[in-house]
Amino acid sequence: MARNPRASRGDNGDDMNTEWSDHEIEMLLRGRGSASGDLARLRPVIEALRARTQGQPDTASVAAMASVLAEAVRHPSSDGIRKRSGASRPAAAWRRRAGYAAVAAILASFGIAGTAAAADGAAPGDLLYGIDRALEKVGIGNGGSHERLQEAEVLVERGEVDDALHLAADALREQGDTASTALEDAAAILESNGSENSAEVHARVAEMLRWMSTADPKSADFGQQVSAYAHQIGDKASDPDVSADPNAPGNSGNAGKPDNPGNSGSAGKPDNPGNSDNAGKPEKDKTTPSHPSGGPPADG
Amino acid sequence: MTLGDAFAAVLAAARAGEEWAWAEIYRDLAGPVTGYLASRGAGEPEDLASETFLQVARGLGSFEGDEGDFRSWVFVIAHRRMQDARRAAKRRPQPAGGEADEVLAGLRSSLDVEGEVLGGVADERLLTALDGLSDLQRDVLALRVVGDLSVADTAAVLGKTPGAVKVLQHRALRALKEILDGT
Repeated sequence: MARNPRASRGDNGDDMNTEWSDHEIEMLLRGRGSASGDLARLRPVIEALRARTQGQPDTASVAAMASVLAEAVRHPSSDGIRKRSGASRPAAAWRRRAGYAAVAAILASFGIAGTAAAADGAAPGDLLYGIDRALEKVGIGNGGSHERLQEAEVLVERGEVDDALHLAADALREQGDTASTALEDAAAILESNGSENSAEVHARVAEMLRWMSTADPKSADFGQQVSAYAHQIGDKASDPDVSADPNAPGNSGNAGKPDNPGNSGSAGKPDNPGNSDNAGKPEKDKTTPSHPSGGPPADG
Repeated sequence: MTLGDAFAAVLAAARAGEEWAWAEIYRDLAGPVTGYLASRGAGEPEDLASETFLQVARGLGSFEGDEGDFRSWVFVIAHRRMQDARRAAKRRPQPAGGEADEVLAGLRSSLDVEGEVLGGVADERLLTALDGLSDLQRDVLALRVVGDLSVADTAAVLGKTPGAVKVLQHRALRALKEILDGT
């Protein structure tokens, strides 16, 4: 390390044309000794860079993370903190940064079990959400598809409908339902719209989530109905004439209702004309609401 | 900064799922790992650091080596997590409309965090100077200075030879000097 390569060459043959020795560079980068000449000039820059090293985390944060990591070792099958795209947005990031001390305080005060209970209500983007998911994945806290759907409803209220659909897809995937693919497809369409998704799309996603949270996921047509909702949401999101203007012809006052002029009594159902999946269902299921508001679509 | 002689015992206890051992590891490495991710412009360095440590915990059963190897391995994971996050960010559609403000606010926030650390006019020059380096040069300096890795460990993280890392760090310093000379 202390050789003097004032005219050395790197392993890749590049001419290093060094005016500095390896030792001098090492001392500079390690922050040791005193540099001279040009290297002395660089020292403030390197020290400013070194200042980016984060300080040691506080005791409560260390204890909390240690608990999670130890659990992860004891339960290696868990798949870790899953980040949602909503939680990855910069605004959410700084909210978390600002609140790490608060999380640490909660962990210090209530321990891992208490924090799990507190974090259960967190949604993506919330301070406690990462911890909530981490704890769930190592077997602490409620978790499960029901909690995912509750979190998704919170996201819809915030206007983060694409993330809500991703989360709903997670919920279905956890219970092995292939309709998750349709939800992911719809989420992709919503994502491609950026912030341009209409109030009607928001309402339809909320309606679907409400229905999902009350419907029996084991029923024979649960997946079909979810897919129908997903396709309808995707259609509305991808058709700006329908989705961008709630006052558009044929779209007046239909927020939250299926976009089907001939089906005005089917509020809360996905608009899925000609859906062969419904073949054989009682006719009333196709034309009358089976639930007063946001009820299950064609769920006999 | 390092666990030293205690490393073997800490590692064995960490493998057994002992919280105290993970506390030692996390206390030792959380700062450098998060600092490395932040210095390389990772959007959410704390999140990525948490994911890194979770991956470390899950993969510890397959790890073999001494403390230097361990440190290098942790940074390999952090580096790959960061690259994955960047690729994912590129795949995401650019936000439109109101979300642009959110993004700008996030960037501003990120700069503010760095500003708190760097502070002062002289450190503003550092930001400019680092922008003039290549990605690899910045990786090398961040791993060496912020991550406190050796040349060999830095080479392992970046998949380079130690000689190539020396070339990169030398060129980075020379570039920094030229940038400073020009200011």
